Amino acid sequence: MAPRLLVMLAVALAMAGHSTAELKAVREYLLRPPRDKKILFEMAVTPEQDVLSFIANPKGKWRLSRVRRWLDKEPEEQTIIVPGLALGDRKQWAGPWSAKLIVTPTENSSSV
Amino acid sequence: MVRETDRHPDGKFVVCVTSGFHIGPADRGQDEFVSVVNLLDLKVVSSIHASEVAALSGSYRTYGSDHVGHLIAQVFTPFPRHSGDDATFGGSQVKLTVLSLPDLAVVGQCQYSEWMRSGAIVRREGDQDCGKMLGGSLPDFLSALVDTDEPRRNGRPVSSDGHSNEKTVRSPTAVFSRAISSSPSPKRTFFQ
Repeated sequence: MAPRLLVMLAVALAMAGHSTAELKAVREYLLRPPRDKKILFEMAVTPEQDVLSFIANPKGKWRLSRVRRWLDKEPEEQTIIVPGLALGDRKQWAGPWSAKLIVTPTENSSSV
Repeated sequence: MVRETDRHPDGKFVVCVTSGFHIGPADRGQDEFVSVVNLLDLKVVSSIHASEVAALSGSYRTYGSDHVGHLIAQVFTPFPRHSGDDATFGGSQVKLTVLSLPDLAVVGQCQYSEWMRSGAIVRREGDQDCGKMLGGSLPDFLSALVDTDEPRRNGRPVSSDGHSNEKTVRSPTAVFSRAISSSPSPKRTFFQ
């Protein structure tokens, strides 16, 4: 995965026998700019197979992007701002930040 | 008891958690925002500054979702340690807090004590109240939580082979640290 780009990769799992497996990239999608270089982010997939990407922002305005139909030629990308930690005085932080996405289960699924 | 009928009937939400450890003179401890986004219209429904919520007060918290769509917070307050204590062994008071979605209201809470050795839970005490609240076994409930965290050790991201691999990049405004994991789903971090 390119270090300076937020890349979403779709992979197909092709089973070759019982003990080996092959992963093949079938689609690459880049989120719309701005490109946040070398920054914390977290990803998740919804039960509808939409891809979520949650990207840190030093001012506390974290970006949550959802990409729908990402296997199509023209995926649909939506982005909203979600309140999160703001860096402020960086001396007041010890250790790394972390981000987490928890997609709740639906009526028809016990887990995601 | 927290009942399954408490759940949101069309629950399709994503909970966004951002955490960091604050070392400010007035507010030392884990600082955290928890926001709920409705996936139907992709809008923020509710948001809390978790470290300012009394029911979530403690040294640090972990989050997961139960099978009916509650957000479950485990709030840990480690027992005091003394010089000479076994470094691999320690205990915490744990507040298990059940929050409803999407409003993040506290709908249940219980407490227990937990001891760990080398990262593995070796003993729990006082979890009967949690069993009553949950209507079942606490260990079974916790093992069924939906949790997207990758394995971590000492608060640092750990790759699938157990090694941490970090690089630091300086920018005019901040120093960022990026952790590179060799696992299929790398997690980035940034530092102070």
